[in-house]
Amino acid sequence: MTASRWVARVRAPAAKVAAGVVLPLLAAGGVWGIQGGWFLHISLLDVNFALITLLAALALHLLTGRAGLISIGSAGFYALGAALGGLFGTRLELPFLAVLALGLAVGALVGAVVGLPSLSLKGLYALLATLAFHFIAVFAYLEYSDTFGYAGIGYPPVSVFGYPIDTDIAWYGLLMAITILVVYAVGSLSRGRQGRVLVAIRDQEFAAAAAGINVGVTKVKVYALSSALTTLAGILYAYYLTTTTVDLFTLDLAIQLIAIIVIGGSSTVAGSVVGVAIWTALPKLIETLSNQAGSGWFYDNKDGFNNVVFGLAIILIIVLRPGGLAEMSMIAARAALVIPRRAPAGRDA
Amino acid sequence: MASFIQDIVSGIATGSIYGLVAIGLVLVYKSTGVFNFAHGEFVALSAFLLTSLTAALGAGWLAIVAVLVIVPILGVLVHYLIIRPMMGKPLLATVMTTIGLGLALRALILILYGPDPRQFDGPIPSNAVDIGSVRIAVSDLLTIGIAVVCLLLFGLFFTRSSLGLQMRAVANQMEASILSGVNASRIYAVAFGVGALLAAVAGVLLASTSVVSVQLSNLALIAFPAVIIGGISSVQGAIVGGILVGVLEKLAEAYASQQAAIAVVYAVLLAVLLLRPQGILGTREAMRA
Repeated sequence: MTASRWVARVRAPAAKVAAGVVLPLLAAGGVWGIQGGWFLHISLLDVNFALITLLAALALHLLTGRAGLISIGSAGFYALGAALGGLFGTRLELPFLAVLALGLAVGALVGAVVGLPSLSLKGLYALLATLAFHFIAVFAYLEYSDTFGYAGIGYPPVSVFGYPIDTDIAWYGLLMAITILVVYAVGSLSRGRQGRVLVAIRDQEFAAAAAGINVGVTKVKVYALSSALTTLAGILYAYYLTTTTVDLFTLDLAIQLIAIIVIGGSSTVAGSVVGVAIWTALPKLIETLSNQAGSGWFYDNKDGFNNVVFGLAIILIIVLRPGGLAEMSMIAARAALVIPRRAPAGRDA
Repeated sequence: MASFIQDIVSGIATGSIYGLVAIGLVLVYKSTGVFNFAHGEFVALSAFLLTSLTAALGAGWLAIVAVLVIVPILGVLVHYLIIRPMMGKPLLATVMTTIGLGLALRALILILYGPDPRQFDGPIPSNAVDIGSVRIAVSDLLTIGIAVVCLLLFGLFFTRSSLGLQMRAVANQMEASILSGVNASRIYAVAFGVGALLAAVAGVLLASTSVVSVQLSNLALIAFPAVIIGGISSVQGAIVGGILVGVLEKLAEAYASQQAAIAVVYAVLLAVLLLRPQGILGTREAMRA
């Protein structure tokens, strides 16, 4: 890669915000956690969960923000990841990286099947297919937990290239490495030919088809890719927790992932990062406020208030500012720092 | 055999409630192009409102009437506040606003009413009748009866009343109906009101026959497959789909397990989506995504 191309890539505002502002912030958050200094009591544990969630959010960003498709099946793919982790890791005792690779492959295959109804041209059918997948996956997780080998045993200890990943800080390093890899991969995919193909399908499906794009194959491909990435997040989630139960994989989790990318801004990588940051900080903020308010009505209902704020934020952002908070902060940053204006990236889904 | 027939009858009873909810979804979808993911929350909200209003007004009947008035008004409000600004935007963006609305409404119900289920002592009796060796709950028969009456009333509304005709006109040919002088914007609001009314009827029926809890909002999750299996473009399909799903669910519960029921229903949905996406009674239409 030539130097000028590299500079051009870093100039992309989304990448700039993600690489220049938010990732160091996350890193700083990690360091804070290690040193025992707290911001809203966000610990290294929370940061690690945020990084796992960011992977799932990026998967959804690829699907919704880029291709204009949607999935409410993320929690189902988490469950699939947890099941595959048990099957490949606990039962077959494969090494961790092999589990991740196999998980990606199976996740892609299942995702392609779930994406098939998107060929019938109506987005709604594809959405309902992912909803169907959610319930079937959760049922399969529950019913065949013995087969997959995670019932009561838990996941084996993780080691990568001989290094044991057994502390929060080691996990932080591993997750950060995977996240940076995925952010870079999603970013360069989006900027390349494939990314423009996806945006073409999102904005003008028939025009894209007329221009020679095989719309059906592309849709199934992006479902497969997104599902593989969510399955990966599910495996990491399961291994990090060391044991899983079916209660973890709720429809609310899938809806919260939709909320994350909508609130941050579904059409940029930075949007997912901002969304996950808010998803992590908001419950902590409400908890801090409710602790200050003391025991009482507000304290008892802090989870409820969290979801009310999330739900209303989805509505307000889609109706008023479809670009999400990332775009709003970009506009503010442009005004403050005089970053040169680029052509808009197109409308959001 | 007797238990099989009992399962079928109670399946038809729950299925007819699914049918009511499904018609509400189809109606709103057909006339406004919006698939309302917050529909189930309207069902749960109606049931909870019913318990509060019964306590406030003292009489169950009065409370039922009040709920059937208040909830449609809320439906129209939702249309004006949230759906109307989304007109002309992509379907999925609108769907996501209704998902957000559902999330917020569900949390709001939990905040206002707490997680414990409530009881509504409605006018529906809880005894059962024996027909031969088959024992059938009176509430099941009443539910089926009320659902049939509702369906007939809505059938008359759509074929005989001017407003119903206008709604069908907008659903089938929006541009042509606007040219003929139909106020499409007003019809959209009416569709949301009628959809909410159907959700309220389902909420009242459910509150009268089982406990009132926030889980009632999950009912829509069963009504979605009913809508698609029956055919999203067909009101009759919604009823057929609702009853099919109700019976399927009851049989799966009886012969497999509670958890298996929803998975079986959704497996059928996935099969329908892959093999016959227009549904059993729907017609294939050339649609833009």
